[in-house]
Amino acid sequence: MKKQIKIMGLGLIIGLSVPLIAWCEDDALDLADTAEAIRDGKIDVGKDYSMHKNKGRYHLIHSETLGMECEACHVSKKYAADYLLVSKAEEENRAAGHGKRPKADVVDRGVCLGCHKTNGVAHTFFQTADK
Amino acid sequence: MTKLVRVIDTKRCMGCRSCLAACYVENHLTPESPWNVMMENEGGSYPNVNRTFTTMNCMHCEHPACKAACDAIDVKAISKNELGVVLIDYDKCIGCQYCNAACPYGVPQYNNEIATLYEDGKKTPYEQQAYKKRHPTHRKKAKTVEKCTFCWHKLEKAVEKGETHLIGQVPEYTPSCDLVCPVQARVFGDIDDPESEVSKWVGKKKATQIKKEFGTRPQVYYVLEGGDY
Amino acid sequence: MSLSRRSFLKSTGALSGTAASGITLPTIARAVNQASQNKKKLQQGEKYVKTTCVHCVNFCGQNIKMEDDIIRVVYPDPARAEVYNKGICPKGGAGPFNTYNPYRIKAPLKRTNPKKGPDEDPGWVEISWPEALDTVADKLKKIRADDPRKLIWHHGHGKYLIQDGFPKSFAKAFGTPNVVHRTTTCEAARHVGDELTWGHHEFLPDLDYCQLQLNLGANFFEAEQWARWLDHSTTDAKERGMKLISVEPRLSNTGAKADQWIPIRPGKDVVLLLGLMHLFIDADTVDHEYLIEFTNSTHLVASDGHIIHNKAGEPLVWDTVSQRATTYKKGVKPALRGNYSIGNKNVRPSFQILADEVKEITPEYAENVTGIPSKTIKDLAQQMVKAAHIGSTIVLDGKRLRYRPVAIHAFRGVAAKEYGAQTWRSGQLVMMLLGAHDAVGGMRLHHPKPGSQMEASKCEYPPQRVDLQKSVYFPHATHNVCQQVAHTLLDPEAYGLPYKPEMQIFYATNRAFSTSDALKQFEGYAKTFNVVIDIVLTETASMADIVFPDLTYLEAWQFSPSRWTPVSSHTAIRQPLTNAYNIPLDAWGIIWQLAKRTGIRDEYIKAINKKFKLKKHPLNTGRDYVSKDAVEALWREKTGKSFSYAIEHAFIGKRLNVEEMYLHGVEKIYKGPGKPKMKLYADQLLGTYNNVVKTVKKHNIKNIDLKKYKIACSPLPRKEHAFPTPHREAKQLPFYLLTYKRMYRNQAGNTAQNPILNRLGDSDENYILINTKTAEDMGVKNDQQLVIESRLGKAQGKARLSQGIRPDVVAVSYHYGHWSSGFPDAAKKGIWINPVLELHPDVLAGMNSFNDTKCKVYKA
Repeated sequence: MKKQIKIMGLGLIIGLSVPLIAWCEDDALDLADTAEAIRDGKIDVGKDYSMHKNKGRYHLIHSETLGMECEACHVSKKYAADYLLVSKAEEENRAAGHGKRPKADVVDRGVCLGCHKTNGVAHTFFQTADK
Repeated sequence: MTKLVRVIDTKRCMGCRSCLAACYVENHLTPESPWNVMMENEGGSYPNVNRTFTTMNCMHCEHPACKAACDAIDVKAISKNELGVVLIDYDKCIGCQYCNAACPYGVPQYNNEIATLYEDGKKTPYEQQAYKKRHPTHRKKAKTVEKCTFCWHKLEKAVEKGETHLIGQVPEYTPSCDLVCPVQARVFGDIDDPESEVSKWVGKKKATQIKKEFGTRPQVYYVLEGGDY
Repeated sequence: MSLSRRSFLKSTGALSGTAASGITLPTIARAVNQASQNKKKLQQGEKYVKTTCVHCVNFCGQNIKMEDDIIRVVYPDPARAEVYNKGICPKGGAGPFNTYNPYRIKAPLKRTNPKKGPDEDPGWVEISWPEALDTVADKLKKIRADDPRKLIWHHGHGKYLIQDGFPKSFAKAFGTPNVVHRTTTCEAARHVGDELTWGHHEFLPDLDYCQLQLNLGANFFEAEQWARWLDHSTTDAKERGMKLISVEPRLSNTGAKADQWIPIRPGKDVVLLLGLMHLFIDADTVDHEYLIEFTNSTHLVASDGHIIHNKAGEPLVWDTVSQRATTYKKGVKPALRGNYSIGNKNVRPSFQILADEVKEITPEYAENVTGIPSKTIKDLAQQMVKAAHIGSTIVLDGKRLRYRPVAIHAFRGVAAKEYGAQTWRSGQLVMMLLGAHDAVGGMRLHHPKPGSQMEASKCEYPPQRVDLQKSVYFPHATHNVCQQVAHTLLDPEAYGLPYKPEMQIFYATNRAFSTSDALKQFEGYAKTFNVVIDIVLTETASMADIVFPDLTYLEAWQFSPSRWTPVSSHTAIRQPLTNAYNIPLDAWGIIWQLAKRTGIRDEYIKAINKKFKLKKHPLNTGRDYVSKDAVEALWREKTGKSFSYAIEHAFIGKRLNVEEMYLHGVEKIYKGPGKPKMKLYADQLLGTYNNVVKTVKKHNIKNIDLKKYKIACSPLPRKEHAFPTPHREAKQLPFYLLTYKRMYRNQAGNTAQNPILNRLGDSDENYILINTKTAEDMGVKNDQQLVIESRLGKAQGKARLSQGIRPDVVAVSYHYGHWSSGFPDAAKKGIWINPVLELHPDVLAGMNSFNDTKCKVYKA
């Protein structure tokens, strides 16, 4: 079962809440159902807990099952390995090719916030209700 | 309660990266998987230019997203202890990197191999130190994720000796990055103690956490000089 | 090269384990025994050792954690915080990896290829210690019997790795005047500017009270001699409210922390400072009392420029009370300004001459030369005057003291120039006008007292020393003119050197690599038999005939240098923590062996006792010593404390009291009638110039350009000092080329292989720093390859765009781009800029001109 859910609003923009809300009204049920189905094992995303692009659950869930486009998370350029907390400006700087020792594409965790916040449709990673 | 936090004053920081070097040596750096980095940011345009320095390590969040991700898949390699220190158990870690993906600060570092420090591929006497003689946090394993421990191997000794009140106050119980700073741009201690330097800096210097929108409640605070976070 | 790097390492490593076994000499045996005893001691698990860092020249106190035999972590010594460093820098923290570096030299090497040059493979073969020592000693014996002056001893960082008193004593015993240190690649011109002005050198801002610190291109938040005291003291002062203004063409990290960055065109500082003096004098916001009581501002100068003296040789002033010329004594109120007649002579106080000369340095003129808007210059002058609180006093510890909380700091940025000494004199004149010397919050001078530099130079000829120090060529060079040696070697007769040098020993210096017009250095070094003592096989080592390995600063005993500060002083030692490659001798031991095998051991011992003034604990003739013995003798002699105290604490220090801080300097030496005076007007330089002219004529010297000496020997700094040769001759080249030093490297190359320092992010290579807009106009992007072309040659490297640099300047740090075959690839990254830097040394000081070159820049 493969659902294509339109989440193009989840681009690289920082303020996610507006497109997320607009999108939720139409598709929240589908997304919540899908998330639930993954957690219940009704949708098979394999047992490979890794970031592997084709075999790993991570990408099977996000890009295959939920249909998120690569660009929703990744910018096109490589980032350096020695970043930890990458600021917005630094991301751009590195994306512009000033980085060193390219290793991994970096995702702005703002992309994850919508689903993984408190009461989001996915596992809660970010305790946004606890201020 | 004791809640350990670090406060970094970027107004004092001069960008020397002594904290990085100290961390790397103290914690047996795995090349390509640094626990501490320095960000330099240039702003303005000539001749009105600024350059800011921000050193970054694990935020040891009250609600660590890394731990939530690890727990969600039932690996449970990440723990947060009574003093607020977030640690990764290399023996439990399956190398999935979900923690890295979840951390808003991109802290956990996956290491593919334990490379030698020098390019000749041979271990120096320092690198040859037997694993059994090392603290568990220094028994690095390939294909696992590692990160800053607040120098837990030092704090642990304070716990053993019942001297947790001295954490951040004596060198042996202070994380090395905080110890070596040439300009005292960083302090470490118990934020629940109103007399601690960290408490005072948070108040007096208006230190704040960064990326608060993720709700992870970081235990590293910054006195900000500008730049972009 | 016939021996590849890997095979070289393999072979040296193979020998290192047995290096000591072939040696039977008791001294070496003792050294080996000592090393193994230390090792045993250290194998008892975790322990802490206090010592002193000599990775750079700050000499920070360290507390080092050992686990078993391993140097585990380096921490700052909390006890040293009171007297010097509060933390340590990344070089200190990464220091153990200089020791554990597998690319170190581990056994003596002999050259097999007689041809020498950057492109020649030395064809190294390993030899035993006795063979290496005997080969060198045999050569030394022959030279000594012939003419001992033919030996040249060089050290750079080596000066600090062992006290330079030891090599100097060796040279004394041997009979050569040629001991050459590196100060002319650092800040020698600044020292000479100070010596000409107030008799000694070194100064620091009084940061406990300073309100405005004007930094002229020093970068003490990265690398400078007092960096690890200036950094925290300046940061504390800033937090307390002190303003830091940084004047520099490139926004350094010090500039980045400053409250204001004033980008100045390279080499033009003297015009800015003369412009400030113009404004101070115009507004009469100068410290009259200070100028009259402490300086020669009131001394009357005749129209020929010379100061007028009475028959007893005392300088005359114009007494405003009696309206006549007299000496400055009690009751006399000397004039600072005015034109006067004595008989048929028209005279002016020297301050009047300064006022007349700076009249033309208007803020608008200064803007034109320096590129700093006149409004900014006026604003700076006002800020400085306001901060100076001229006329005010403060009571500290019951003592009423002058309060002038404004200080200038400067280092290589002002010094590394053709007119470095004069440029820095202009800085000192600004401090004089504001009365800031040794005032609370002002500029604290280090041991001011009149010295030989306040007299005209004798302009020695023929030169006795190969570096021509203090000769007619560099008449006020009190510091060794290190880059000159190679030039003299290329043609000793041209400089009138009465002998032809045959042998050079280089101890812990990569001089050839670190000097401007660097390829010329290699040519010069090819002329002699060379010995190198170092921890890594540097580019200078590639010119050697024999190479000795040295122990690192974490492996050897030494009586360590230490830095004074305005608030403290201390004495320190270094002690060994390990011996990673079982190397039996350090440089100290090598010198000892060479003295012994050359048959001058007892003369050496006597020279040591004399040099270090060892009276209570002298070394005895007729026996051998190891370095620890010497350290113990020095420690006990200098501190009166037991050696066990040194081993436990590694230093002894004290905080200075108010009297020592403010009343032992210029107040004691220069203040008031009947005392010598600081030289606002350096009249001795006129005497020097006359002696240069006489000497040149007498000996028919062809290679001295008197016009240049006349400009350099001006009694007051002048606008001409802002126009070094390339600025005048290479006008068609659009860019000024600036060099600087980053935190992560030393000059010598002993940091380039450090895997921690190379992994601090952007630290393993350098780049061509260029203004963003300039680059964009050229169509240049970050990391694109650029070529810098000067009149000397080309260098290529990556562009780094920044808003923090003047649009007419490109800057490259000067300690990257190693190419020695003894270096791994990780240590070779970046640009070697030194070969394209033009050399026009300051003829007063001998200082190297690192920051005067002009160039063009284009895409590769």
